[in-house]
Amino acid sequence: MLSTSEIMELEKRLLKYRAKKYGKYFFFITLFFTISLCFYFFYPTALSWFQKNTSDTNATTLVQSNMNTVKTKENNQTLLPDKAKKQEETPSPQESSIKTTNVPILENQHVVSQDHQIKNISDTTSRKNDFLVLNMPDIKPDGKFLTPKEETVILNDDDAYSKKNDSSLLSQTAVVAPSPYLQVAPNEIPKLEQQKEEEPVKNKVFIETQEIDSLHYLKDKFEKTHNIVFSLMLAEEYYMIKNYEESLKWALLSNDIDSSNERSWIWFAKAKNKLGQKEDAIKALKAYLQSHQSKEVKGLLNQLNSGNSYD
Amino acid sequence: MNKTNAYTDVKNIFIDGGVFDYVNLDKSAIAYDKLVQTLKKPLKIILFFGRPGIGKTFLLQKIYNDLKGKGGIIFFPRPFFDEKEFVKSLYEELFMETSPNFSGYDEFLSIVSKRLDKDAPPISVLIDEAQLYPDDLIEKIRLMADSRRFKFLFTIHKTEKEDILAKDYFTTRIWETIELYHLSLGEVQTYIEKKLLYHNKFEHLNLFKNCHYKLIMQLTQGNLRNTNKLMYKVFEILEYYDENKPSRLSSRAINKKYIEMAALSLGMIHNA
Repeated sequence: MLSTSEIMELEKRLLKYRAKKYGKYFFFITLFFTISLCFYFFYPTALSWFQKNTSDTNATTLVQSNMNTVKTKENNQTLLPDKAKKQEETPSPQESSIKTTNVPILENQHVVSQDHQIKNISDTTSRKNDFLVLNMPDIKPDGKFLTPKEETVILNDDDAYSKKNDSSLLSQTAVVAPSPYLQVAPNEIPKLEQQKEEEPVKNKVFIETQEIDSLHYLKDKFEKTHNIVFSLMLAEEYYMIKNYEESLKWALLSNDIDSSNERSWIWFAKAKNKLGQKEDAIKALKAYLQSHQSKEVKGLLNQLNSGNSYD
Repeated sequence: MNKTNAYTDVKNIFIDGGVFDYVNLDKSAIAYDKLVQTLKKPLKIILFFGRPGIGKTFLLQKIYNDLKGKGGIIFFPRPFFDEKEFVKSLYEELFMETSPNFSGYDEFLSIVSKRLDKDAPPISVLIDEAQLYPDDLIEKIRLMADSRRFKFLFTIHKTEKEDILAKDYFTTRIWETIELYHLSLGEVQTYIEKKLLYHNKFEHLNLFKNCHYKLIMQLTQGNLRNTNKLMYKVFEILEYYDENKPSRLSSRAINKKYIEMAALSLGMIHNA
């Protein structure tokens, strides 16, 4: 029989052997878990940082391109024929009416959110068609101005710019326009040009503002990409503007693309509930939970069952 | 020491060559049949080879034990390095009497030819560890085989270092070659189970599960001699724990660490 010392020696050797054999596996498993934890905790932060950077870059590019456009239009303005100038001096009734609707550009101003989602700002029903471009009026080949609806405006914001001289101001004001029309009648153009002549030394900032119709934009993106992200955003947008029929439609479309996506079920259930079909909403959520685990879906189901508000 | 230790007797059944209890395994059964059939053929030299420790000697012993009753078979388990010693031993095994001093194999052959019946079948001589025989003795044995009075079965180790099969006298003279391959996982399991069953150690059968057999196979590479050594050491370690630290032992399957400890002790695995 083996002696105690031999057994102790063998036990020591076994410990060393196992440490050597399994040590590397332990190291790799620990490394894997560490990386997984880091990814889990820091991924959302990194993603939002990346998206912020991307949106800033896009905003800067938009401002630069708009400034170039405005300058080109300004050059065109200097080449206006005499007839056209006369017409500018006597604006048509239509133009006058537009002039009365003018409001300061910085009122009701909104900024694009960081996650690049174009949010509904105030009155979404009026927003659908208020695609505004601040530009010089276009001129037809015969020298006449285009209709006032197509007119654009130059905003001379020298003071604001010279005081602050801050590029961030540019990006903020240029990305999304205020919802009201911002227009300057053609007869004001000579005044603007006069001011320009009087203050030739000052730097001028031409800001083109435009508001993008988020629904139109999202639909366009969805048609191009057929990405579930856009269909889900549309479902959410319609839900927010209380168009529950459309929200339901887009939720179903999203579900067609990926039936395992919990967001499609959630928007479906919410829209159904708002349309007075609470039972259908509960059935759908229960059906989803039979094959999936989701705290959010469970929470919504509980809220629907208890009758609590979830918005 | 407590004589009632359950593992003391069990370890002894794995002493290599200590107990002749041939375990019939798939590959060894095939090799056995092939060898017996080949010995019946009118061949002069047969080569039986395989890696060391896979049971060639055991198989030869089994064949010898089974056929010696019919006569005409001689088994040399130990090698000879001298021609005179070889012919002397062959004579004594053949005629069961003290051998005269032969000057060489030709004198031996002439006497044997006179004493043996002309129509008698050739005597089968099983030679183990043939790779240890000197080349000139191998050549004399071949000449004896040419006399048709003897047929020789050489058993040699096939090693990776030296390809003994490539030697001239084996490549040109051998009429039949039989290889014994190493054991498979199932055969290792069968071997251990049968060993325990033959010795009525039924209570120890549940000590080993599939994972243990896999580990034993991995450590021994299907080598019977190493399997015996490992099992002996495992039971020796278990014997110690049963004697001194019985609480460490489970009544069910053993901890794999005892097999690893045995392998470390035998140098099959290293911790350095």
